[in-house]
Amino acid sequence: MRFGLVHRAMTDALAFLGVLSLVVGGQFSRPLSIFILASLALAIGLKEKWRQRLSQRHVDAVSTAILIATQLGRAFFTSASVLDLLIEFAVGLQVIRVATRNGAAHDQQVIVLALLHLIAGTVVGGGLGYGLCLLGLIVVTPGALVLSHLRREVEGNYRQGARDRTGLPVDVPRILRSKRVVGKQFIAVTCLLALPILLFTATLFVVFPRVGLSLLLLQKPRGERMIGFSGTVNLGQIGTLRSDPTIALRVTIPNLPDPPPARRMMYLRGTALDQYDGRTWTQSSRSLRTLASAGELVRITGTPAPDEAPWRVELEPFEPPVLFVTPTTKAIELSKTGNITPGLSLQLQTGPEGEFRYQAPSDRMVRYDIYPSESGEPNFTRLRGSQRGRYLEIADALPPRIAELAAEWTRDANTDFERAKIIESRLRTEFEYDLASPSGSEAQPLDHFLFESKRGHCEYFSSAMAVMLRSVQVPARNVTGFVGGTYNKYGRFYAVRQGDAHSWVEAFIEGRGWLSFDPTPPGSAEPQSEMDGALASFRDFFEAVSQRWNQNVLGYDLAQQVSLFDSLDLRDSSSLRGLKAPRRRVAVAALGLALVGSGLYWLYRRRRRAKAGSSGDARVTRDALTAARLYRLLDRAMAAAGVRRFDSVPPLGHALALERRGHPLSSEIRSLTERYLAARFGNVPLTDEEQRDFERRARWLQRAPHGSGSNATRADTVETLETVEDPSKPGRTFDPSTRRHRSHSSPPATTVSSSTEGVSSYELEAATGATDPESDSNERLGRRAALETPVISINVDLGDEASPPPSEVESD
Amino acid sequence: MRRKHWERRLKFTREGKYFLGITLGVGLAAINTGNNPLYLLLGMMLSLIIVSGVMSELSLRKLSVRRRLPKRAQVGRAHLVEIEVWNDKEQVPSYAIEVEDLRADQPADKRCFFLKISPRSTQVAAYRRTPQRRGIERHSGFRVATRFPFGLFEKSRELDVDEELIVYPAVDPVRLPLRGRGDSSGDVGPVGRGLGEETYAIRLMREGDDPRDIYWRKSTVPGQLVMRERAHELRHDVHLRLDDLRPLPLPSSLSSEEAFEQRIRDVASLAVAHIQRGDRVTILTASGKRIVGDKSRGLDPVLRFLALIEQVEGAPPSIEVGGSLSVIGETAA
Repeated sequence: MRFGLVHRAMTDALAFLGVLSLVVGGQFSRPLSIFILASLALAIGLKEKWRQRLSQRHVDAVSTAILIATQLGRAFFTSASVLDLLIEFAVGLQVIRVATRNGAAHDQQVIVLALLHLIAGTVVGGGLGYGLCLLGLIVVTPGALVLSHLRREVEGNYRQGARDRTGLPVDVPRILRSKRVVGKQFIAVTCLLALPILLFTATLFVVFPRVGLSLLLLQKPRGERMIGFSGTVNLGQIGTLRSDPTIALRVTIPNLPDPPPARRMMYLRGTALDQYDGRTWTQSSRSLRTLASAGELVRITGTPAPDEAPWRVELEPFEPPVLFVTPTTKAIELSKTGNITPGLSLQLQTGPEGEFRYQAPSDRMVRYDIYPSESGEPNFTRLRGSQRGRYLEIADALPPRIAELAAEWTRDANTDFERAKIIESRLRTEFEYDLASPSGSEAQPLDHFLFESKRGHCEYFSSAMAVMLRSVQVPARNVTGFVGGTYNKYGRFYAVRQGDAHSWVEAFIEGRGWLSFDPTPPGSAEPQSEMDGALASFRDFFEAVSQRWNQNVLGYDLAQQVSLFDSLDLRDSSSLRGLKAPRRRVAVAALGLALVGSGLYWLYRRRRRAKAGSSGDARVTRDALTAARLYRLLDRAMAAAGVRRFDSVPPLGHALALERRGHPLSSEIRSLTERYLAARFGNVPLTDEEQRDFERRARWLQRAPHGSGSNATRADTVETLETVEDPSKPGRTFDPSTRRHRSHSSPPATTVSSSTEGVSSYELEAATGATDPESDSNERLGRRAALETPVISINVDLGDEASPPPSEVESD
Repeated sequence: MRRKHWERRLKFTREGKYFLGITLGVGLAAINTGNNPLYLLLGMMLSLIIVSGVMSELSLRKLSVRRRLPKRAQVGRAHLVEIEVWNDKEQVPSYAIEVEDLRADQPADKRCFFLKISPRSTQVAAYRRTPQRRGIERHSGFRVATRFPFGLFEKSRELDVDEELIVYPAVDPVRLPLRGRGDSSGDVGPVGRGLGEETYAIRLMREGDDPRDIYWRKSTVPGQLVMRERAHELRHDVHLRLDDLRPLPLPSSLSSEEAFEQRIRDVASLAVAHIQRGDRVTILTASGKRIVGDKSRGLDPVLRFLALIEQVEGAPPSIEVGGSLSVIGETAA
C-alpha cells in the first residue's frame, strides 16, 4: 500500500470520527448534522490536485475568516451559546482543513482538531455513540500519528538537493508513492497498538481517583438536555412524543416470572397539574421541600421489609427533574453518587402536587429505588380542606355544556368513586384515540373534543375527565408520566421510552385518597414506534450495552472504585475465595491455558529459528559482514602491494600461492585471510580489537615497500569489481551490478571505476548478502552521489526484508 | 567515562509539549468535573505517551553504530564521514533514526537520518564536513535519537566509539622558482640509467628484468617484449625551517597561535610543492624536530608531522615569521 494513501486514509478516518463523536452526542440539529457530515465527506473525497489548488488560492484562509465572522456575528446578535458556537467553529475548521490540506503540518492539524472534537464530545455527549467513536479513534490514532510523524520526518530531512543511495534526488512525492515504507504488517502492528492503548486506558480509567473538585464546571445548561417530558401540558403537543423511541428510564424489577412479560403496563407518575385555563394545565404552586439526601430512605406510606428487593430505576436527565414512581409507592431512596463534589450533593425534594424531584450537582443519569406497596394503597391519602377548592376550580372560559354533560353522565352515581368510574368508562368507550385530533387547533379544544370530533390523545381524555369530575364536585388533577415498559432480555430491564409518555387523572375519593383513573381507551397508549423482529433485538442489544456503558463507564464513581479495589484485595485471597467454585476453576484454567499457550508459542518460534538456521537459509551474521568488509580492505592492500588477487582465485588459494612463491608478505596475507575465513564462514566472532588490528595490518601491507612504485599507484586508482561467493547460496556468486546470482563457470562481470576518497551512501542488506565486497559497485555509485550532495548525504531505505534494486525504488 | 547502555535522554518536541499541555488540561478538566469520558480521554492520551516511550525504546534498542573516517582530511577541504548503523534486532525494524557524530563530547552540526532500518541489516549514510583546525580530531561517540513513533518526544542514547582523525594543515598552491639547467626536463641527468620516472631507452626484454617495466605499447610482436629503461634522476634537497617556539607577546595583529598556524600552512604549501616536483624536503623545527619527505614516501608523513606539531614554551622569540626555504644541494635519487 502506498505510504501517502494509507496516511491520508487514516487521517481522514480520524477527522471523521472526531466530528462523528459530536454528531452522535446530539450536539447539532439533524439538518446541521447532515450538512456537516456531507461537507466532511465532500472534503475527504476531494482529489489531491483540487486540494492543492484550493490551498494555493488561500481558500482555507478566506473560509476560516468567513467562519470566524459568522460565529462572532451569531455570538453578538443571537442568543446562541458560546460553547455551541465554539464547537461549530471547530467542526467547520476541520472541514476546511481536510479540504485544503497540503503537507504533514496540515495533517497534524487535522489530528489535533480531531482530538479537540473528542474533548468537546465529552462535554456535550458521552453516550455509547461517543464511546464507539473513542474506540475507533483508539484504533486509528496510533497509525495516523505514526504516519504523520514519518511524513513530517521525511519532509523535514529530505531537503532540496539530497540524494539517496542510487544518486537520484530524494523527493517526498516519490516516498509518498512508495509501497515499501508501509506494508500490511506495518498497518496491522499500528492498529494492534490499540490493544495496549486500550488496556492502559482502561487501567488508568479505573485507578484514577474520582475526586471531583468542581472548580469550574463546564457543562451544558440543563434546559438543553430535556428529552420531552414537560412541567406543563398543552393540549395538542404530545403527539410528537408518541413516536419517539428514545429511552426515558429503565426499570429493573426483581423476581420476575420466567419468561418475563414482554410488555408491562407500569404507571409511573411524574407530576400532577392542578390549574387549567381552558387549554393548558399548569401548577398553581411551585414550592419545593427537601426531603432527604441521596442514600436516605424516604417513607411515603410504609416501611419496606429488610429483605425486600426494590425496583431499580435509572432515569435519563430530565427537565423538570422529576422522579417517576408508581402511584402505589410506599418508599423511595435516591442512590448515592460516589463522586466527591464539595458543596453539591444529590437531594430528594417534594413538590406541591406530591411529585418527587431531585437536585443533582451534575447533569448525569439518576438512579433510585422504589418500593411498591403490595396492598395497592395510594401514595397520597389526605386532602386538606383549604386545598380542596383549587382541585375543583373550572376555568370560566369553558363552555357550560361540559359540566352539563358530566352531570348527565353521573346522574345515577351515588359516590365520588362511582362518578369517576362512570366518566372514565364513558370516555374509554365512546371516544376514539387519535394523535392528530382536529380539536387542538380550535379555540375550545376540550369542548370540540367532547362534542365535535370525539377524537384525541391521552391529554384530551385526561383533561376532559378532570374537568368533568371537578364539575361534579370531585377534586381532580391531571397527572403526567409514563405508562408501559418493554422488556430488554439482554439488559434484563424494562425500557420506558418517550413514546410511553402518558397523561391520566387522579381524583380524591374520600376515605381512600388520591386514586388514579385512566380514561384513555385501552391499547391506544401503546407507543407508536414499537418495532419487532431482528430490528427490535438489535435495538435491545444496543440499549443494553448502552446501559452498561452508562452504569460502568459514565456512572463510574468513587463508590464503585472503592468497591472494586475492595474486591481486588488479594492480601487474604478473599476475592478468589469469593468466587464460586466453577468460576474459580474457569479462571484458573484460563490462566493456565494462557501460560501454556505462551510457552508453546515461544518454543515454536525458537524451533523455527533454529530450523531456519540449520537449513542454511540463515542470514549472514554481522561478523560475517564485517569480515567481508575487512577482506575488501585486504584485497585493496594486496593490489597496492603488487600481489593482487584475481576474481577466479579464492582468498585462501591466493594466500597459499603467495606462500609457495615465497613472497615476503605471504605469511601476513595468509594470517589475515584465515582470520577472515574464520569470521566469514566459521562463525568465529571478531572483537573490536581484532577488527582494528586487521585494519592496521592491512594498511601496513598497503604501504609495504614491496608495493611501492607505479603499480601501487595503478592499483589505488583503478579497481576491478569483483564477485564473491554468496554465503546463502554456496557455489554461486553474487553480481552487484545486476544483483543476481550466477554460477562460478560464467565469466564475472567487470566494471572499472575510478576510486575517490570519501565515503558512500549505500545500503547493506543482510538478507541478500549484499554486504560482501561486491557491494563496491553500490559504494561507488553512492560515492559519486554523496560527493554531489551539497549538505548531507541521506540514505533512503524503501525496502523491507529484501532490498530492491535502485531502479525498482525509483519506479515506485 | 563509559556510558551505561540503558541511559536515555528524553526531550519533548514542540508537538509533544502541546500534547502534554492538552493532556494536563484534560486531566484537570476530568478532576474538576468528574466527567468520566474525560477520564477515558485522559487515559488514552497518557497511554499514547506510554506506548510512545515503549516504541521509541524498541526503535533504539540493539542498534550499533560505526564510523568510517577518511584516510586523510585537510583543513578547508570537505570530506565525508560515513555512518553505519546496524539493527541487530530479530524482527523489529527501527524507524526515523537520527545519528549525531560526537566530536570531543560536543554534538556535531550534521546529522544522518535513517527512515527505516530493517531487522538484522545495516544502513550507511554520510555527512560532509570541512575541518577548520589541523591536528587530531577526536570522535568520541554517537548520539542516536529517534522521535518515533508519534513525534511527541525525542529519546536518545549515546554510544562510545572513540576514533581519531588527523587533520592535515591547509595547503595553498605555490609557484616555485625555476631551477637551473636541466631542471625543466624533470631533473633527468645526462648520464646513464637510473630509477627515475622518465624513459631513458627502449630495448628487448631479458631474463631477470622487472616485468613491471614492460613497455606494452611497443610490445606488439609476439614473443618480443620491449622493456623501458628508466633514466637517472637528480633530486634537490630542500630544507624548510619552521619556528615552533612560542614568542613573547608582541604588538601584532595576529595572535601567537594564528601566526603559528599561518607558518605551518606556509611550510606545508612549500613542502607539498617541492615534493610534488620531486625534491626531497627536510623540515626542521626550532625545537629540534625533523621530518624528511620525498615523492617515494608521499605527502602523508610530512603533512602528518605538520598536523601534529605544537608550539613549544620557554624559548626566545623567533625573529622569522613563516617558513624559510634553503636549498642545500642536489642528491642523486
